[in-house]
Amino acid sequence: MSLILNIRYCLLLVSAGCFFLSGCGADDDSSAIDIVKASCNWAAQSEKINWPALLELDCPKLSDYGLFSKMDGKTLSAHSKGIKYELKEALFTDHAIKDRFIFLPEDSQVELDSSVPLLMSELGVQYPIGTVITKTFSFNQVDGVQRIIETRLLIRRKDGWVGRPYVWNDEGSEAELKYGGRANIDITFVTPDNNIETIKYDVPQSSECQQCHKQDDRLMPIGPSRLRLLSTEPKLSDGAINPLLSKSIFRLNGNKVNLASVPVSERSDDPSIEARLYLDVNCAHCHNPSGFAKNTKLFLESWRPLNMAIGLCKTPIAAGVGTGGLKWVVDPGKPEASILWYRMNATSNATKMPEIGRTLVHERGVELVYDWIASLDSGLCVKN
Amino acid sequence: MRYSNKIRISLTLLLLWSGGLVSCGADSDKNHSPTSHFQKSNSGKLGPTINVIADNGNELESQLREIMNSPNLPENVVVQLPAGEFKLTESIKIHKPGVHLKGVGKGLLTIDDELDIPEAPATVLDFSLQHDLAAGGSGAEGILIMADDVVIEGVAVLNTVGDGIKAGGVKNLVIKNTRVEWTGPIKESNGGYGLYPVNADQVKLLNCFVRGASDAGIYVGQSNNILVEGNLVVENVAGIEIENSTNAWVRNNVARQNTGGILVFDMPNIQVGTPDDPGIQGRNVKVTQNKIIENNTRNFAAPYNIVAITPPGTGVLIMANDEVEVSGNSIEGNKSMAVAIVSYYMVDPTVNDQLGLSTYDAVPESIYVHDNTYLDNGLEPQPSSSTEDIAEQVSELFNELGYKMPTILYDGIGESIAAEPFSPERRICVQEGPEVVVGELYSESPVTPMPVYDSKRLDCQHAPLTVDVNW
Repeated sequence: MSLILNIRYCLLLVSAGCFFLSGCGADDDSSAIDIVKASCNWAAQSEKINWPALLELDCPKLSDYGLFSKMDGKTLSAHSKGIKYELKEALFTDHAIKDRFIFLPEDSQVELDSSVPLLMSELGVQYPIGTVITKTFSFNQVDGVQRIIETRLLIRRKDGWVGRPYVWNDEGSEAELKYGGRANIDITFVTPDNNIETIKYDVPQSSECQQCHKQDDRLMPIGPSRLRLLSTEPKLSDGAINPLLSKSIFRLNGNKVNLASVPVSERSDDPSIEARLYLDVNCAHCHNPSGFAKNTKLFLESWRPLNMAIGLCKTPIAAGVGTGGLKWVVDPGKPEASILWYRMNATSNATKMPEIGRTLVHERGVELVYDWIASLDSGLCVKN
Repeated sequence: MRYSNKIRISLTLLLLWSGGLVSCGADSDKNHSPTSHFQKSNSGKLGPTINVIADNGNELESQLREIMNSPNLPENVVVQLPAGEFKLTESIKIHKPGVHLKGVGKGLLTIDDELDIPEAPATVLDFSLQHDLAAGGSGAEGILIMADDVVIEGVAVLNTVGDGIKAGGVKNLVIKNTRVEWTGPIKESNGGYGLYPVNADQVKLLNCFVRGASDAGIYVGQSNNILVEGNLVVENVAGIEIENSTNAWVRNNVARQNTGGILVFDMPNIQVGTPDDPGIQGRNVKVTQNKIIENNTRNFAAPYNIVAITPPGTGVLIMANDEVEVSGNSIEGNKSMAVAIVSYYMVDPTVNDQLGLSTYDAVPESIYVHDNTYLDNGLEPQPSSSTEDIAEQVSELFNELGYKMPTILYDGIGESIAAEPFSPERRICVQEGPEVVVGELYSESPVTPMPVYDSKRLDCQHAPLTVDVNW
């Protein structure tokens, strides 16, 4: 039997709740009887975070969750439960400004386990059920006004993490859930180096959450992974204390720990080579044995020793024109002969890396990697 | 019988292709397996159909974004695309299990301008705009599959900037009656692979047409349980390539006018792996009843992709892979050689000196080539590129001895470096008619070629391989 639906008609009814977006969790398992009946109608109680909805429902508006106390189009202030955080190195997304928060349920802890090898694995850092990680993307426009584009939610629900993209309206007063993201938003903005750039920005669709966040069969956070948490500086870029680390929310190997009081050098085995951390953050979510690019056999986690897995003397597997006619992913001593450098420097869809989330070349990242490759001993590879 | 008449070839291909149109892949199943794809793959039934209605690429794109990302997509949903030509800017990404993406009709052959083929209704997804940075969009593939139990059927995917249809890490994939093509003259900047399942388990690629891939028309890599059947691959660098894969059956395909017809490779760093990511050694690959004809197209792969070493005029190329059976194929008019069985050392003699690869098994073993028909192969060996001319050099070595290029070429390096002769189960065996000459290149030393024309070392037999394609 065939249920024929006219999608065009359907799309007209999206906001009213067509079958494929009607959502709001009607089908969810609601066997947990002690949970308050979840609802997206939260305006009346806006002083609190809407935890029941976060756990069960995909609400149509970001404000339905009550995560942010102020949404006036310029600034996004988190509810008091939100912990702002920064990372030592971040994924480059065309110079987008990213505001990051973690929201943890009352009295819950984040468990860090340093006995687990530093794989891209949820085992190394376990967030409690109910955790919400938000990342808001905005750009500094030429007129000096910050334009807010999207807020991505990563929510730890009972059965695992889910990713939900919310796209902001032009006024910046509300963001709506868009499972399909939004393609080709024209943005002209000022870079940190005061260059003016114009791009077509893509709010990723849910499927693209998977492309980066899915490790083996599970969706999980990438940014605040154990490695990144442990290598995060105690201070924010503006000099303020990084509140994430100073909160007493972490347990390391079962013991409470104040990460801010422990120097980075003592809590992390992160390499001192900035380029390796850059590659880890920008590439290793796909390029690891559990990630989407596992077939390439190019694994760019920063903990790996200097060998073929990180590209040294490694011929491409399935790069097609992406090789740029070059032989090795990393040709030690010769950045310009290295596929890694070539693809970071590319902007064509056919050749650029990362494949999604970037249309511009990140000069700083390219320089870091250039210098690293140049510093490697050319004798590491056998030339034939 | 030689397919030298152009019309004859085209008609043959057309028949083969229209067979695909009518049968929707089911006939081939009746012949070879007791159950249809869907009875097992999708819990015995298809879900509801969503008819996508769109007048142009923009509409189609935005609707597919909504549908494919909907959290309430019905199980085993059939997403029916309309007929027409749609210009798309971004990849179609499928991450929900059980999606059946269906076009109207099938892509038609465009390989022969002289044939007047009527236009059938078709869903044509043209990705030319991916080449235009100003058009925005994202992703290099036409369709990217990230979920299990997906079926792609009856669509044409054209001119993608990257691969045509890629599936990564999935189980139970079917792609059938689908066309992937880079239209216009072949060129280096075409996408790498037409159909590209990788890290997959249970893959059926049936009755598809692929033309113009700058790497392989159909490529299955690092996968297990594979059936490639009834496809037509034309003017790709490699027609069909099976790489580091296990339990694969390539049968009843036509590989014509590629650089190399059918390739079975085992690549070093995939085979060896890392301590936390075990390698995959390709084995148990059957290549049977294929037509492998006039694969003489110049090699237009980007340098250092492994297929770039393939000499134009290669029928079948087995490199470093173990347990391969090649039988019942018609191999005709391939200018360099009908079948080559070589070690990776032919590409890189230092491969095992390279960082971390010391344990790579670079030599083919347990190969069985038998009962194929051959006509007019190896008549004019071709260089793969301006700098690589393995086939020509090999040919010259045989010429110096007063012989032509042998029909079947074995590099012999594996046995010349082995401490003792290969045991019976490891041997390279060829059983063909008396007119089929087997040449061995490095018959005694892995360093100095000592060609042996009409080598008898390969006169042995193996039991036929068994590949179960009834999943």
